[in-house]
Amino acid sequence: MKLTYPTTLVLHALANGVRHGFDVIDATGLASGTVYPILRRLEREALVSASWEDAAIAQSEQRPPRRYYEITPAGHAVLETAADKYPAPRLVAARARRLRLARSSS
Amino acid sequence: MRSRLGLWIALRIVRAAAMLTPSSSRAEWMREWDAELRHRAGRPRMNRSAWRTDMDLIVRALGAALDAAWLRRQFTLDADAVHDAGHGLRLLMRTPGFTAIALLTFAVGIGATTAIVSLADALLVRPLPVPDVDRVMTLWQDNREMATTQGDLAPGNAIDIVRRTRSYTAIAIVEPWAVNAMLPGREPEYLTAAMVTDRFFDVLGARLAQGRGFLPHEHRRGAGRTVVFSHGFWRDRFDSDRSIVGKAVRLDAGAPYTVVGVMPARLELKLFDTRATRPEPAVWLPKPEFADFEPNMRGAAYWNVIGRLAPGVSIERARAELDTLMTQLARDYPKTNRHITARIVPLREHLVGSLRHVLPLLLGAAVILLFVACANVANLLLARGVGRGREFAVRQAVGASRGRLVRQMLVESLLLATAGGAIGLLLARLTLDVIARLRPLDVARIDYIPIDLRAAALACGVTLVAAIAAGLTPALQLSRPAAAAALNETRTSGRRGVRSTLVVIEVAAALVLAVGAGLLARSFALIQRVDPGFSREQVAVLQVFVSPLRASAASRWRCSRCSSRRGSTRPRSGSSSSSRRSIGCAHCQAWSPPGASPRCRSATRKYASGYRSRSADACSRRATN
Repeated sequence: MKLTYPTTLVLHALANGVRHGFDVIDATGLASGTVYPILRRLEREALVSASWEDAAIAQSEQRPPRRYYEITPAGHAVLETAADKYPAPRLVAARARRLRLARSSS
Repeated sequence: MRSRLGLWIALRIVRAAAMLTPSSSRAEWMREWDAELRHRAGRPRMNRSAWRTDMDLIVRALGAALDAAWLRRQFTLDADAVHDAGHGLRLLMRTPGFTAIALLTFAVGIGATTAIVSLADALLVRPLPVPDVDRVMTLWQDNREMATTQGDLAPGNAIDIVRRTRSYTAIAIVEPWAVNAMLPGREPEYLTAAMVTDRFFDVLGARLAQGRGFLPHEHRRGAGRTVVFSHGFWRDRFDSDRSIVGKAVRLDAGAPYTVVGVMPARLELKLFDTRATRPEPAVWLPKPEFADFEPNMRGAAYWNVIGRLAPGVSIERARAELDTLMTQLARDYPKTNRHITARIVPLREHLVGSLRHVLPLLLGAAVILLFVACANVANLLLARGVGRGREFAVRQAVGASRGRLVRQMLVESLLLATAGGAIGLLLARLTLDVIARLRPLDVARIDYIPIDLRAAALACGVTLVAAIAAGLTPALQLSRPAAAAALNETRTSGRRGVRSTLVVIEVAAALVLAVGAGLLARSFALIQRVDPGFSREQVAVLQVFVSPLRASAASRWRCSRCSSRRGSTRPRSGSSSSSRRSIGCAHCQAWSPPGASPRCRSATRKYASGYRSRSADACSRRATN
């Protein structure tokens, strides 16, 4: 699989605990038209797994359940090999941290 | 209000984009986008105005169109690929002759190349269970007078070499031996064995599968009997019993031996010049101090020496030292050593045995064969592609895109390559099994040859590239818009130049291959015709072993006399030969004829080819029972 810089950013975001499509957009600063095809491709290559959120959580927040993505061990391995080519951007990690904090505080 | 408007617009955009997605995944896709947009609308970012939130939602929703388009494209590609594969399969089944020849070409090219490279890899490259194996040397004796090379060392010479050499960190003597095993619940059994001096396990440096090697005091005369089993013997007779170490087994007509270790798996040394007929030792025994007569034995040669080079000592230096030693021995013992020289053969090189000179030839032949296979496959596909000019033109005329036509040819080439590759790998497996079964006994480590995955991948890859290139070339040419004119032609111009070149290359390569194969066959025929100096017809060699533990010296002598009296008999009626039929023993000089004394507790081995009488079989049965 061709590993581009945007793909690496998305993997970084997922590796830093970002789970939802729109949160990945926030963490990476990429456009939704870029992020979603990347997520589909990663899912197809089994570098990312996708599942639906628990309905109870969604109900408690009065919204439909969201789809969340998680990086697989194979995805971690690919990310490690990409580290030499594309060093880990600090911005993604910082944004991911903020998103995690926001999620935990809510 | 504004955010509701933004959400409303965003959801409309997503619904419109959803029309692009494949119907099978549309609902889920919409559910995901809907949830994300609603979640974002319900939780606007801090310090952000409502209209900016609306715009953010709308911009993100516009991305859904790209997402949907990507999904549609993947779906179309997948569906087309399935359709192309089905269509390609039908076309290939419609031309069984072409398909069979193409598959056979693929299979032979990939199978033969993979088998030969796997064989070379197993013999030359795959690591032995011996650390730093390139430093381990075997020492052999050459006899200029008898024109024999790489023979065993005479005991006296071996002892002198081991005592005087300074080139090795460890050097050991190995003596061929045999024992009769009496294992509980089993028939008595004759086992090949070897006795080794105290540094043998230091030479190997290998970690034993179980237990340990022999300790120095176990080599003293009169020390308790100890034994190390070969891995195969331990596996077959003791079912890989891990508690075997420390147990006593009855060997050599009932004497108890304590098992101290088990050799590592896949370790074959193929020592002794009888390695072509003698199985690997099943048991290893410690050799006690040399007997008085052994340092003076320089006539008969049946020992072997194996050593590990000292750090910083090159093979050349060790060879020079050995040459000097042998010159000294020739001077000291001119009667026996005048024509004797010695040679050092690295263990890895020695283990390749008689295939040492054949393997490079076979590797060359395999490369040429792969080349011919590639050219054949390319030629077949080119010819087929050119012949489909009209079909392509018709398909283009009814709306097929150029990309679709090219992809169709690609899929067909891939189908052929995949099926051919699978058959090729199967062929390689069968070939390797046959080679392992028919292997010369002097070649080690080919009881089971694994397929070398790198070789298989390379052979499949090279053939696949050739197939794709050959499949795409006519497809690219014929799918040009101008090719539609082919509808009005009876035949296309084709790629005659390419095909002619391929045919020339193919014929040249096939010629080289045929000449090589012919030379190989002729060499083999010449080897078969080498005169051994005696008539091999009607000659058999029988070894007779009379256990000193079961029979007194007098009864052993009676047994030998009995054997030798009946050792020569008239040939059976119907035989055209008038010579006497004799069966002789090379080592103990005892004669064991057909119908030898049933008192002999012996085991027999048959050496000579082309002779085995019914009575000899009966004798063998009696002896082994």
